[in-house]
Amino acid sequence: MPNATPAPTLASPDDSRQTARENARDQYLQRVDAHQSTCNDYPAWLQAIRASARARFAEIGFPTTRDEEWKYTDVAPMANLSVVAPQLNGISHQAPTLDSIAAQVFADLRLVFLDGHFAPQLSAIENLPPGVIVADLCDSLQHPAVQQHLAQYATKTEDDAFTALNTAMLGSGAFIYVPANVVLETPLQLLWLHSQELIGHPRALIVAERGAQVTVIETYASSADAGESVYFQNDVTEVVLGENASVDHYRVQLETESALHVGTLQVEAARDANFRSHSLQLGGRVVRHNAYAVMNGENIECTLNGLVLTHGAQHVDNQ
Amino acid sequence: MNTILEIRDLHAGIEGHEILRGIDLTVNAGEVHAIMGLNGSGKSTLAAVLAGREEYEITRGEVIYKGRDLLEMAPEERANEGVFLAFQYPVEIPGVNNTTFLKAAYDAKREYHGQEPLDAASFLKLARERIKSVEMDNEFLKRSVNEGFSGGEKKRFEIFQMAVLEPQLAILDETDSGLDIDALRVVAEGVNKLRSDERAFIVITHYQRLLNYIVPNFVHVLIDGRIARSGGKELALELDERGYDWIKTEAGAEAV
Repeated sequence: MPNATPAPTLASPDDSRQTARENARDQYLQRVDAHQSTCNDYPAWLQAIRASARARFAEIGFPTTRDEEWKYTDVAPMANLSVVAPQLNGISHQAPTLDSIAAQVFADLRLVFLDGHFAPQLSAIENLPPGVIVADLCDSLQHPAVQQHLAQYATKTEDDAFTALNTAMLGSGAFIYVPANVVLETPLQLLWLHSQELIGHPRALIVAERGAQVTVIETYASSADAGESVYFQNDVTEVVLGENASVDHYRVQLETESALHVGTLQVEAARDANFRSHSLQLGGRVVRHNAYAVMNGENIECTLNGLVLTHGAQHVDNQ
Repeated sequence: MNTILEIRDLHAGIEGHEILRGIDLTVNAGEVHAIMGLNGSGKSTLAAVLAGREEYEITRGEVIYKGRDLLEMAPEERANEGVFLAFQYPVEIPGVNNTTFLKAAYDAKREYHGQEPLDAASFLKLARERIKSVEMDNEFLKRSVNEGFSGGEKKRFEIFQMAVLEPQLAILDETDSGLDIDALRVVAEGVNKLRSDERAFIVITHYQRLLNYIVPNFVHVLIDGRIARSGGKELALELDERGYDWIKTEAGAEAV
């Protein structure tokens, strides 16, 4: 129920904060429940993952600055955000063309998502080596690697409300799979574009099997339409590296200066694996970036580089 | 045929636990022998025993290197006689300069062979020339040993050291583990440049891909401290595709 029990007449400031926090959580739960499936078919195992994540988010709610991990960042702007009802079933504005988004395109091989939906007309996934998959998660739910790895790391390792929220909304997303010993020389870009006021939950799963090699550039930006609108991107990227795999990862955050962004990178690496990540935080009004790596074996090399360029009232928090 | 190394029924262990259980291997000059095996099969133990690590106890067998009893020789003597080990996990030694370190090893060898140490300028020239073969910058020569080197840089630096010391028996212990494809190519090229009729290589590897670039004459599979099977380079490919179980089964059947 959206309305909590009425507050006592002489409400202390703590109580009103509590109610506001509960309200924020409940509003997001409504969005989770109203969220139409973006995939045609949701297998039972995925439904179970979503339900479990929803329950977790319902239980813990949004963090406050009294939580150690969030002491530098007040999440009220994200939690209390109200947007015009999102158009989940299509693109409401004039569809961007390749020309109009040229400034955000960095690679010849790319998956483009517009307002959370896979945009095949803006993507380019030709001439992939045999066995390599670069596709929408919705189209890949039968793949053994998705069943084995999706949501097995981010939600299990870190007890985080934003990760739980993203997982509760699991649907369309990026799935990149490189089979054993395959080297994908061409860099691959994942471009997440917002064109309007929206709350989005970009999701990516990158699996590099034993000895595989790939370079992935994640880009978060707005198309020309977004303008000054306030929008919130809450993204989760899981990267799984097999033995002796090598992944170069870039996160380029080019949001507008009114945007809100929470991003989580979760890496799981096996022995002899090599992971190099470079994060560039250039936009956003309130930005939180989490980077976690689990090194599950000997001789693993994991580099997490970051660059933050801010001015004015921009707030960027890296953990 | 110039036999550089002969291992006969070598048994070795550590802290009472036997790891090598009867290794027989003959390596001739000009040959590249690849040794593959799962974790715990004894690959690194073999390398350590050949290089002279003291923690390992030799319980049986012998190792003849250029006609001499290798196991009787101290590690530094083995090095001066031309044995080189490229470490699996090269150690950082802050405060010890790379060039000083390498020159000390280089001069020790010269002295052992009755030669004068090389003058600093000539050595530096030699080092700068050889470091090109592993595509590393001269700047690395100014740093402390392996300090701040990435995994790939450490492995390439091992090959550079080998290029300077010009050994007769080079043992590469999992040099390819953790390398991306570009670093792997550089390492392989560096090794291939050093292949000659006078030199022999033992390449210990966990992954088959290196052997596409450093093509071996022989491949040996180590299982439970013994060479369970030997073959040509096709054996490595077969292992990569089929795993190790089929060899274990056949080895078990033969033992019965």
